[in-house]
Parts: sequence; structure tokens; C-alpha cells
Amino acid sequence: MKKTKNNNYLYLIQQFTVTDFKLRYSHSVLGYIWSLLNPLLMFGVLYVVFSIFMRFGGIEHYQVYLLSGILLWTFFAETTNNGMQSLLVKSSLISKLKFPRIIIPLSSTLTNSISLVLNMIVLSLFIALSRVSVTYSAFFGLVVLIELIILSFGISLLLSSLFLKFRDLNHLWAVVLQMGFWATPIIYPIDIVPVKYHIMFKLNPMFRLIHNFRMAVIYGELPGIRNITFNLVMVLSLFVLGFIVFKKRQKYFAEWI
Amino acid sequence: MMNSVIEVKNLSKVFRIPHMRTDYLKTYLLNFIKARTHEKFYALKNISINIAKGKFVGIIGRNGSGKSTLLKLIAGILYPTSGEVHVKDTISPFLELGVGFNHELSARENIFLYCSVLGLSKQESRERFPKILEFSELEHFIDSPLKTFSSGMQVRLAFSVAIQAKSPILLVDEVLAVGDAPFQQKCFNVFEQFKREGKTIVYVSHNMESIQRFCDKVILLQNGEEVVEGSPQKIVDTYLNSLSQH
Repeated sequence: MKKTKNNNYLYLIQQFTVTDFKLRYSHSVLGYIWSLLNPLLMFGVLYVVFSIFMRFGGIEHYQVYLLSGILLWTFFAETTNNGMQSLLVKSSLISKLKFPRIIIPLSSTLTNSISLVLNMIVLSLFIALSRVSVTYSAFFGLVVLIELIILSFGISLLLSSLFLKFRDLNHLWAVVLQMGFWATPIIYPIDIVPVKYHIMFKLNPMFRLIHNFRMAVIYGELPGIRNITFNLVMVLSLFVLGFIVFKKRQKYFAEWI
Repeated sequence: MMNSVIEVKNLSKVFRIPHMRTDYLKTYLLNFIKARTHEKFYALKNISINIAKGKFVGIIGRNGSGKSTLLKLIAGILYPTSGEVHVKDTISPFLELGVGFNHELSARENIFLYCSVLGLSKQESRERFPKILEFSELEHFIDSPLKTFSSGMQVRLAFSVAIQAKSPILLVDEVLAVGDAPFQQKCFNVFEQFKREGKTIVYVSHNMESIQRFCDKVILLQNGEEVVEGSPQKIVDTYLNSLSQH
């Protein structure tokens, strides 16, 4: 009995994820390409500005460095944004049916993860075309991606349950993301930041993940065990925080909508 | 007491209606210093009901009398402010037909989406698909997007899927008010069949004719309290009399 119930929820998750993905791209001529074109165009602009005008081009493999940063950051920004609004978008379901509410932000995160996987394929093409010598350490990049997905899911849980009560949260979050984009070394290297500020960057989970991803995939270096543990603890505690807040508030979702 | 599958004991539901909206961080922060005031609104007050297995129970009352709130509490969508709700079997709420439908998707995609929303598995959905299609009589339009359907067709599709839900308890909120006469007849036949299969059905409606036709017992709600319950004939008369006094 219990088992079939879980199976059915899996089917529900699958249905939500796939239909959302279909819907997001079914009404444009370029379809999925948009989810790639957006970061690629951003990459183009930033590349021109920072490689030619401001000469960050000195970084080894700057194109791949920049593109990987942008793709990971875009995933985080879009997943948390969509995740935040996911409960409200499916409000009619919440007020009319009983099912585990967590399925909604979860499938929203999974929808974005499909795009992430596709984007990573494009990134590997870039890597293949550049002269990056990929080593086995690149597999660690997968671990980082999983951490990134868990982190984004956790933040989505937190934001979506708060957003029902505070409907202007999206404005605030847009500002946070905007600041985060510049406060995280996505287009510039950490080296240009004076050492006394480094502590701020080291507490930024997005910087830590993007940094580890680049080191593993582009420069063939694995992070130390302390670094790995620290990241894991940071990601999991943010996830647990989001999960607890969501769990506590989900009783009232049907009333707040 | 007899073999009851739904037990509601001293159930109350209070909605807090704030005097000032605090749905924004801004107002929340601004009001932080001031005491926030709100009014308590009793949607349901101290309700106790027992519903026996296999019974067809109607709930009637004027708009705002708490019928839908009661169904949502039984379904577990809302949580009681005080009192208890015990349900001893799985519930299929079709509180509203077509919840989860998406107008951009085709009818076929919507059928599978709706099946998953109603708690069917992938395999079960596939098995039921031909039956659903046959019942809805919409075979020709199966791959057209739902937005091209008339509202009557949409309801037909939704109803055809909803009756495939396998739970022994059904919560039905005013769904028969739609569709043309032959289709309504078809829906009534389905309800007859559910009755024969021994399903427990809680039915909210303003359609006194269908209430009298199907229900074994009727419960009358007034302003979230004063439950009068009894035979359909008697309760419907009481209700209609109370209406004419206003």
C-alpha cells in the first residue's frame, strides 16, 4: 500500500517536471535554445568587455572559465527564482488537492536541472574546442553540480514558503541575485580582490562551488578534503534550513494562497 | 456507533482576517512595532458528524455556510483550528473538476497530467486511458490543445478522468451543474454505480433534485454551525423553508 503511494508520487513528480519543461519552451520557435542562448549571449557580451577592454584574458582558458561561471550562476538564479514562485503558480492545486507540497518546488528544481544537463553538454563542446587538457578530476565536477542542485533546491524551499506570505520577496531576491552576480568571481578572478576581503568570498557558497568546479574541470585540480567537507556541510545545512522552514509552514499554504 | 469512515468531532475552523494586509515584507516590517489586529471569522463552529461506510451524504446550505471548508478539512487540505477529523480510508477529492489542467497542453497530455494529480501511477493511467477517452466522447479532439475546447468539453474530459480515481471515499463539490442533459444523465449513472460499489460519497450541491435523488442522509449547515441532519426530504424542506423566510 505504502509502496504504490510512493510510486504514484514519483509519477506526479515526473509529470510536473516534464510538462513544465515542455511548456516553458513549446511556445517559442527556438524552444530550448533560449535557455542556452540567454547565458551564451551574456557570455558574448561579458567576454568582449572583460577580455578585450579590461584584459582579464590573462586568465588561462578565460572563455571556459567565464562560460562555466555563467552557466552555474544562471542555473542558481533561475532555479531559485522559479522555485520561489512555484507554489503560487500551482496555487489551484494546493487549495484543491492533498499531496506532499514539496513535490512542487522539487519538480521546479528538476525542470531547471534538465536545462543544466543540456547546458553542460554545450560546455563540454566548448572545452573540447579549447585547449583545456581534461583529466579524471573533471568527474569531481559532477559532485559539484549535485551540490549545486541541492543548494538551489534548499533555497527554493525557503523562498517559496516565505513568498506565499511576503509577496514582495521577489523584488528583494532579484536585488540579492544581482549583487551576488558581481560579488561572486564569475567574470573576474579572485586574485584581483585584496586578500583582506577573501574571507567574505570564502563564506559565499556559490563562489566555493564555482571555484571547485573550475579547478576540477578546467585546471585538473581536486580540492582538499577540508574544502570538500566544508562545502558539503554548508550546502546541506542550507538545504536543511529550507526544508525545516518549508515543513513548518506547509500546513498553512492552502490558507495563504 | 456504526461502521463510520469519516468522523468529525467538535471541529472548528477559524480564519484570521487581518485589518491591515501584511502580505508584504514592507508592511510587515512597518507594522512590527504596532500591534497587529485581526478579526476572527468562524468558518466552522463546533461541528460533529459521522459518516458511515458506503453512504451517500449530501451537504447543503447557503453560500458561505462552510460547506467547502468542511470538505477541505475532511480532505486534509486545511487543518482544523480545534477538534478532530478522522478518516479511515483514502480519499479522492474532486472538489473542483479540471484542477491541474493546463490549457496549452493537448487533451491527451492533460489526461495523463490529471491522472497523476489524482494519484494514479503511470501504469494505471495507461490502462485507464482508453476508458477515459471512450467516456468523454472526445476521441476526435484528443491531440488538440485544451484551450480550443469549449468549457463544456473541458468539464466532460475532467469528469471522465476524475471518475477513474480509485479511492473508496469521494468528495464531490458541485460538479454536476455542468454539461448537457445526456452527459448529466451519464454522470448520474456513474454515481449510481459508485453507490452499488459501496463507495462513500460526500456531495455538496445546490441542486436539490440531485440531493434528493441520491443521498441517504443530508446535513444542513448554517453560518458554519447548527447542524441539522436527517433524511433528504425533511432536510431539504427545512432548508427551502428557511430560505423563503429571508
